[in-house]
Amino acid sequence: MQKEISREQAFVQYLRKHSESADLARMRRALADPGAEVIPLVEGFLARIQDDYEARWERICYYLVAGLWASAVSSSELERFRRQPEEEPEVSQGDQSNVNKGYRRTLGHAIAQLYLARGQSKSIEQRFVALLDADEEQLPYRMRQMVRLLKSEEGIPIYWSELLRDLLAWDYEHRPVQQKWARAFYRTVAKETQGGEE
Amino acid sequence: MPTFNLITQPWIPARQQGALRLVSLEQALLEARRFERIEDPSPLVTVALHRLLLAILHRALEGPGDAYEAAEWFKNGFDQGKIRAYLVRYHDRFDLFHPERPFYQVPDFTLERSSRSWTVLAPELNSDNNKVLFDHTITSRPRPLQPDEAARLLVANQTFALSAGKSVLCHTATAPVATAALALMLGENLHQTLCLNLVAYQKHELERDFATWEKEPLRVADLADCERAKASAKGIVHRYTWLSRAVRFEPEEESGQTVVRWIAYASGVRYEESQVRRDPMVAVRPDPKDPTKERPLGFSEGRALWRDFAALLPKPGSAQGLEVANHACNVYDKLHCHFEKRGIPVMVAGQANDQAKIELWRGETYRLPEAILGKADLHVFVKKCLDQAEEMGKALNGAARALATELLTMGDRQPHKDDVSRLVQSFPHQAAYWSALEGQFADWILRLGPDFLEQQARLEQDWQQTLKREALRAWELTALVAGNDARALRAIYKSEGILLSRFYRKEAVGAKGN
Repeated sequence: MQKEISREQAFVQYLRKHSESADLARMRRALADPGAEVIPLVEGFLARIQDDYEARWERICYYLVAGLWASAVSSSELERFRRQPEEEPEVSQGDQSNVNKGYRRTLGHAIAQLYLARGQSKSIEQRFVALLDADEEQLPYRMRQMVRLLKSEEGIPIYWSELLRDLLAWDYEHRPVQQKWARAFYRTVAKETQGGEE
Repeated sequence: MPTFNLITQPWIPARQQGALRLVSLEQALLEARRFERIEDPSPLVTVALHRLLLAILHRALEGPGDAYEAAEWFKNGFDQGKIRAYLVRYHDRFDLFHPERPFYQVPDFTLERSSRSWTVLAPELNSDNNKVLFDHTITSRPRPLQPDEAARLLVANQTFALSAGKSVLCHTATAPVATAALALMLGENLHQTLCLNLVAYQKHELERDFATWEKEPLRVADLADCERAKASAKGIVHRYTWLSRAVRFEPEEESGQTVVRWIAYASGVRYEESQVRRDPMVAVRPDPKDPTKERPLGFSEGRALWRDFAALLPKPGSAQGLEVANHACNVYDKLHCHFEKRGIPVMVAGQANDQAKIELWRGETYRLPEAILGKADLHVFVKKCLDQAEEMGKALNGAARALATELLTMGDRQPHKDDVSRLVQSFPHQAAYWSALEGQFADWILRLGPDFLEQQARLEQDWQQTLKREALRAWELTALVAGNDARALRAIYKSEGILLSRFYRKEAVGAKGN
């Protein structure tokens, strides 16, 4: 029996399975203004989930994550991805109340690793704080910058489906996503710098 | 001549079958079983009246020698003959307006020397040097005071008078227990209450000790000599009946009734600390500044008394505990009495002051858990758990302080520490944490039953979980105040580690212990 997966995971899997090199290039190009251009590959997926209404922010997020993902993988890696499509670890779902769980999958954790790898670089923290405050208009630009930085540091994984889920909820009341990222960032930093409680 | 004899006139507010009535000293002592309790709106008056009754009983009954005798009295009542004989012997000394020996006053003190409105006796009312919000008593034209009320205020004032600088006689010093929280163990009726608080009073103390009214009253000349107007307590009754102030009521006649408007009021006998036995109603706790020393447990603003609850519990094998609590346990032990899941209620009353200014007064009732009758050292256990609460409170405070510092930091500039303190003060973490714990503690302490030893580990674990839960809740409230823009989020999650690391450390220690 196949495990049930979330829509966000399905999207990332879909990208892995169906992207060709040309799609990658197109998605990267579209990053400058996510959602404006029509990319058949992404539209193919969106058509499956969007019914009559068109959710603008949802569309932007799917395009944005597709572009970010495309900019983080190279064409040569595509074959490898296709062969092991389940590479991304399972998301523990349902336990929304406990934000502490699974904080390692958030972008906040990834950025904290970058921050530590760069000797607690002040500019990374500043960028992170700016990212937390980004509104919908600024977010694509700041995300692009951040993913570029993350890519430049070896071995920091980005959990794309988690990222997509978070971006979709970026504007929620009480800013749960920003809270989660900030918590993940500072907790990771504290654990590393204070000798680690774990 | 006006007269108001406290032995025969009604002046003590007592609760009888639900109704409040005034009774005389004689009734209160001889018919104590008929009254549920003494109850004045002011907890200070209530507890001071008990001390007065206890003092009379100690002297009249010349005891009890030990808890066995107190238990005997508890069961069979007091020797009424002895009480009557004592009251007959000192009958005149209990007249509020006696020309030569007015009760608890200085006979030759006159209004010419010092004329004050009677409101100076009542800390809750506006008097000439003590302004109270919302009270509109006019000191230049005080309302007439009835003798029964005057007597109550006099007794409370002698017990709780606070230092107030110079007077026409000498320096007005603080009464022996004015700043302490006085504990009174409560029984099911006044008689039981009295027996539970009649601590051992042995022959050698009985001979040395005296009640203020047993001696010839002090005169102005005695009290004006500042060198001579000091003493140390000769025994517990001397302490219970300390003449803290020179008072003389000036009775007036008004529509056929005796009332008081003006009183002569000045310093009394200055209390000198000595090595004699400690006040049985006063608990001690370690001095926060110097743990080798002890301080009387008292009320203070911003720190609820239950946080020092352990001080109220008997300390097995030590003479340092709260004597009335030890005594009450012993009495119940001798009676082979069980509480049937209710514990021993204890009333704690007192005031908090800032020098001569009274910040608050309070009477609180707690229940000492059933387990105090067992052999287990509850004191150590409860103290440990309360210390854990304090530590958690400190971690919470540390996190709040770090949060405030982060919020106020602009670039590389460190904020001023006063600004940080002000911001920390405005956070709700302290109030949220301690007030939530107060209710939780009251429930928790009652779970300390006869099966305490078996339950101990479980009780401790539950308490720690409560601490964690309430600390987190208080922190969440504080984080809400900080806001949710990126700067605030940065500050919140950077400082939160201080609190969380305490949880982890605890768990790590626990894991090793298992």
